[in-house]
Amino acid sequence: MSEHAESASIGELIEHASHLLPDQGPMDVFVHHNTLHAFQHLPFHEAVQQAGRIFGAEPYMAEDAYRDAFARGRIEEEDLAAVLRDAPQVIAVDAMPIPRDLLLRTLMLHRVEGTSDAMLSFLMEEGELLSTPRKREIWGHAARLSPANDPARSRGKKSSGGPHGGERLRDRLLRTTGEDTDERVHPILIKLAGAYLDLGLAYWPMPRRAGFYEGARDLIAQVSGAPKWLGLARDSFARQAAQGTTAEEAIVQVLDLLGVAPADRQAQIEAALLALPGWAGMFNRLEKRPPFGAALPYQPRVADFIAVRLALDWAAAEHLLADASRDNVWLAPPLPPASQSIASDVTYRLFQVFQLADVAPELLATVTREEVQKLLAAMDSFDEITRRMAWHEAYERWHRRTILTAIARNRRIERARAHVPAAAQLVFCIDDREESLRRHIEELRPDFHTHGTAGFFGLAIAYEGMGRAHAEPLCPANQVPKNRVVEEPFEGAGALHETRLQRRRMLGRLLHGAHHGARGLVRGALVSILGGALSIVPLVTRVLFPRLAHASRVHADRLLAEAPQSRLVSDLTTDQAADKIARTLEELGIVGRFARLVVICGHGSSSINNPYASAYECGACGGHRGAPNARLFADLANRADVRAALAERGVVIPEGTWFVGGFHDTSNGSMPLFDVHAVPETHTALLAEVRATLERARRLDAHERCRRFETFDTNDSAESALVHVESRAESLAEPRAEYCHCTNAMAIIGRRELTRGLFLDRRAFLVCYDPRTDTPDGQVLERILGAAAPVGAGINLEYYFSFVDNDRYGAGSKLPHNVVSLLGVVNGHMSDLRTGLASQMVELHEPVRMLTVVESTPEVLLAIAERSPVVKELVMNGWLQLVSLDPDTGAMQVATARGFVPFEPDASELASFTSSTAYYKGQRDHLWPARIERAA
Amino acid sequence: MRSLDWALPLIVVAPLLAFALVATLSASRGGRPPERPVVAISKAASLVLLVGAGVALALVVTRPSHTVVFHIDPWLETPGRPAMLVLDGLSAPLLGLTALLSSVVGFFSASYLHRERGHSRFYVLYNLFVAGMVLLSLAGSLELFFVGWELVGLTSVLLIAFFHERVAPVRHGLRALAIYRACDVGLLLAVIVGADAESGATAGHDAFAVGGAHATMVGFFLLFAAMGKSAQLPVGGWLPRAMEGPTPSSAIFYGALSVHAGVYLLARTAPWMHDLLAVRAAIVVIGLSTSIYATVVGRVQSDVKNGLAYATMTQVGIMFVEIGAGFPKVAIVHMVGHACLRTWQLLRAPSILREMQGVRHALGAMPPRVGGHWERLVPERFRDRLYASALHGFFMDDLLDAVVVRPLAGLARAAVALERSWLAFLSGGDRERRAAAPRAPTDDDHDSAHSEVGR
Repeated sequence: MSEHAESASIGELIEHASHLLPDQGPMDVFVHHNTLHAFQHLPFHEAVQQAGRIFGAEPYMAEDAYRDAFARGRIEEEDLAAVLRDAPQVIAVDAMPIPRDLLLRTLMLHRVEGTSDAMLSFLMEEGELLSTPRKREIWGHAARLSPANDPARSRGKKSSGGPHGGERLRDRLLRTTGEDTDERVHPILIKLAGAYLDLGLAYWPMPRRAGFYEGARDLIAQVSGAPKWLGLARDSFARQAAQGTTAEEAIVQVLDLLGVAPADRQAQIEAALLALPGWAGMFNRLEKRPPFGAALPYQPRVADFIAVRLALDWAAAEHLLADASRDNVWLAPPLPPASQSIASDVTYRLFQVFQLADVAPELLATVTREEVQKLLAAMDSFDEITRRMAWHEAYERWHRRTILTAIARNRRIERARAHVPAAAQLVFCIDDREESLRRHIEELRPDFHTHGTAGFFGLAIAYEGMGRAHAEPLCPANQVPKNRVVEEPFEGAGALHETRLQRRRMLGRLLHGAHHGARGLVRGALVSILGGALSIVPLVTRVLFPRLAHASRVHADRLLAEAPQSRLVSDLTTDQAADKIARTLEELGIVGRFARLVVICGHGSSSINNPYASAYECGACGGHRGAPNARLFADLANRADVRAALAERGVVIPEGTWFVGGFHDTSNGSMPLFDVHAVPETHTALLAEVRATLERARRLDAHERCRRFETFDTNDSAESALVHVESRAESLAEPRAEYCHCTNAMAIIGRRELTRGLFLDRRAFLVCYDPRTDTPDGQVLERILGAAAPVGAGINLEYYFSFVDNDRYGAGSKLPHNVVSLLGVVNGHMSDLRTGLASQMVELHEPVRMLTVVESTPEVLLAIAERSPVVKELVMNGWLQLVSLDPDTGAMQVATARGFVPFEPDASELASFTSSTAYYKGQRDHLWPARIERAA
Repeated sequence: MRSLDWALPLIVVAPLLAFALVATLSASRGGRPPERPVVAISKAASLVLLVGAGVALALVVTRPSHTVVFHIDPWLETPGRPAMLVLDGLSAPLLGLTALLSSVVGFFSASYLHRERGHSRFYVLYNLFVAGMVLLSLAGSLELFFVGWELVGLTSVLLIAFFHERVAPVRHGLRALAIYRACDVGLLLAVIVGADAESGATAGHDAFAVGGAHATMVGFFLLFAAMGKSAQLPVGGWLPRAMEGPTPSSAIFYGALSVHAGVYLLARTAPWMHDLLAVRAAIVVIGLSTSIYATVVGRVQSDVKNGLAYATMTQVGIMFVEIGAGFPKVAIVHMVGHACLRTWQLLRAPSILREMQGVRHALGAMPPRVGGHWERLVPERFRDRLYASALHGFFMDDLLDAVVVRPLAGLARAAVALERSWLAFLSGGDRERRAAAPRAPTDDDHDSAHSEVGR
């Protein structure tokens, strides 16, 4: 790296360093992604550990959390044994006083750590350390066998951390003077960055927003009344402004002033970026990928941010050094580690291990120092990170075992069943939150079949809704919408529409004026005195009676102006439409088996007072609601010209089949259907049946969800559960409108017979795929995997990292969050921009890599991986756990670093219940798969 | 009306009792008691308070001239300065406001803080705060008022530092504490000096009276106290920093109640300050300069909570002006309206993304450019300069640090050094050794003892 750094330009160094920054965009569109996307080219374990060192973050859960899982039976003896059997990192020596497996097991289950001299003497004199003769004897042996003085030994085991690359001047100063220059620099820098990136929150926007460096420089250069250190920055900025220095030149100037060697530049720039990764990351993200269709009022560049940061850093340091002797400070050696006598530390660890592994004192008498040296080496090589990695593997192994066994059992049962032809087919998004709804529908009506496909239904569109200011991209974040769809008022409703638009514009102006006015001086006083007390009305209703508040708002909206009936107008040609519809129907595997009614159901999620709202919406629609896609799909599939074109492509939709678009709000549980007025009379009876079933199913779905909410009494009825979720979605005081993807853990890609009747506790992405209708080399599967794997893994991994280290990778608690610049949130008064998920969103999560079961053969999967680099990287580097399930035999094989390894289901039988409700009622925790079998 | 006097203390006792119960429950369960009883106790206290405040408001509205007085205990009283609770046209609105807003926020927090580690700690502080607020509003004497005032200040500081595992909340809490304590000196001095003055004679039931020879001095003391709690220049820098706590505590303290305590104090004493023109002029000047300052600074804030903090400061400044100008009743109306508005705005601060999207969609375009009238107001060549300084609050806190804090700290350090050398001289002997060791003001005997053992 150093040679690279010496020759590279500043631009290249910045480009290289910026890969480490979080990649979260403006929050009004929240797209889940792998937090460690920059490390995805590495194997999972290597990546999390390396990133852990760079960011000072946790790679796995804490050891105690895993031990706790072991105590609960969430990890079993056999998982632990299997994982320890092939823990390759550990030096295996047989000639030790303790057999390898026993040693590792002991270290896994017990905390064996050295201690301080003072603590040790306390334990000896006051505690029970040497309370029995046997203990005293073991202590004697341990003391005898401890190496006399081995300096290498004394280094404490660090879980993670240590500065990455170059140490910042600030770190050095903090250590030598006790003063933190970041405390001065950050308030100034954060205010400037927030004001610069502001998308419309401040009443008086920042002047001079051409570039951040130029803007901040020119502003600071004019500041008056500044504290002394900032005065230094002001003077140097004024000089730079006069000379017309560019950001890159300014960076070099500061690096040279600080005496940074060219070889260290890369590391210094990385360190400067990672001091405020959130803000630096936002500059980076907006520079490289500005939000869809938005014209930013500025041109953000990471280089500008670094230039300002380094200039301020320099000024604060310079001021601090003014009366200290600078050379001494900068050259001061690192602090020596706290002194600790080695012998007692090692003796104590040996003493514990001997006892925990139950080594007889008689045996110890024969042990030599050399053997103990090897023992200690083995103990050191099995350090905390390695142990946690082993624990994590065991944790996932248990999960894998349990789920795969359940799927194998369920498949056998379902295959033996007689096939019920479908009276209606309901197509949902693959989202884990739809699993329960689908199960309840099928429980209520076995002749209603449900299917899953990515919730944009193959229609990547830019959608302009009626009364919306701009178009939204409704497709996965890695696609660009090619077609434009506009919602227009129905013929004859044009006048009504115009009135509505006009009134809404008036309301908009009023709201906008009120927003700024209520914060002002004169207008603020008038508003407070004359009407302020009126705010008590919305305040009380929104907090105490959220449903009433919502209802009255909807009512008021209607009073303002009734929304006219609408229709969708798209620029898709008949051929384009037929192509897209055909592909989606192929993926669903329902071609040739159409029921009379097909419901296409998008999804989204209602919540208020929630900056993360977009994260709860449909991921396949890029963090938006999938309703327009569902509506458009049904609309197109019903059109005669599209059907004719479909028939040419071999997809024949029978005359008697009708498509209906719908929408499922996963938060408040509502399920409207679209354009029902167009449904032919022949289908109205069936439609009524479907609607009745959906009415019942959405209540049961709400009921099942509510078991997770401690504020809901699990004995309450499904009806009251619906009321509960409706008020949750509209409550101002609710940081958990729903739990979103919180429990996601697996993806199952295959025929519904794998999962029908299986209770998966809303933890599975369910993707429809019929291997029988695919080409032999798996082209349909390739498309499905190409869309589902990155989206699913992105969600799964974002939850993983936000859970294992909510402080570094996640956003911490929502409660003090403060929305800044209409881009993101900071903590309280000011802080770095918080990225990742809030603690309230991940609190129930189990961090396991997505267990991805695909109904296909290893050969096909390997061929697909060869063709698709995205899938290959995720699978080969172990960012998801891939399992192949043979379409014919049902045999399963798990993908590992050593290739596919056969999986044998264990002998356990699948628990069986007569309904989902019978299973989940009264339960709060995760529930493991069970068979739901209606009593005959 | 006499028959209802006994009920007055109930309103104070209810939140105080809730505080004691929740604190005991919390302590007995290792700081993590079940949430349900904690919330239930707090809600019960809110209910008592709501009913009490409702009756109180009804009484005051129906018989405006009447005043309900409850003498706590003659034993606590000093001649001319009775310890009593007073319900009149001034205290009733604040009582009502306290009851209503604290109940809503208590209800709000039950789900907002659900599963939070500090859940019971929040309710302990919340109940104590409500007790402080009620006492402050009903206090019939400066002494009692001082007790309520202190409870409000203490709980406020502890709630700013609610997330004490992070550095910033603790630091900002400490800053608020320092300002509060410094300004509390004003109230304390007012009590002492006021007690000397023969003010008891001025009005039978109201010991807020400022009178006697030191009236002007007492007036300035009270103003100083009010400036701290109500975040006026130049000590108001703590207010935006106080936005570190959970959203509901920010709302109730800095939008609704605590920040208006200074306004209430001045409104309460306004009748007796009518002739103290110097004090009234000072109130107007401070209020006016604060509003202008805060409105300029607030207009450039690019985050929602700081924006609201400065907006609050602006309005509280105007209330000061109203009182100074001789319209305390207007200030009280202003206070009530403002408290409701700001609580509503702060509680829904996280909604701002949605709100702005809604405006955009309703308008069908990006919102019109704002800030135009600033540009007409400020000549172009000053504009950037004004903006640059406003973005950083005109470095008010740095100025305060440089002008007041550092000299004071230096003085304290010098005093400590002087005391040490004096003691050393008196005790003789080890003079040289002690003088040789450089000392920071935080060094105390424990430290030196420790370092000696270490050696």
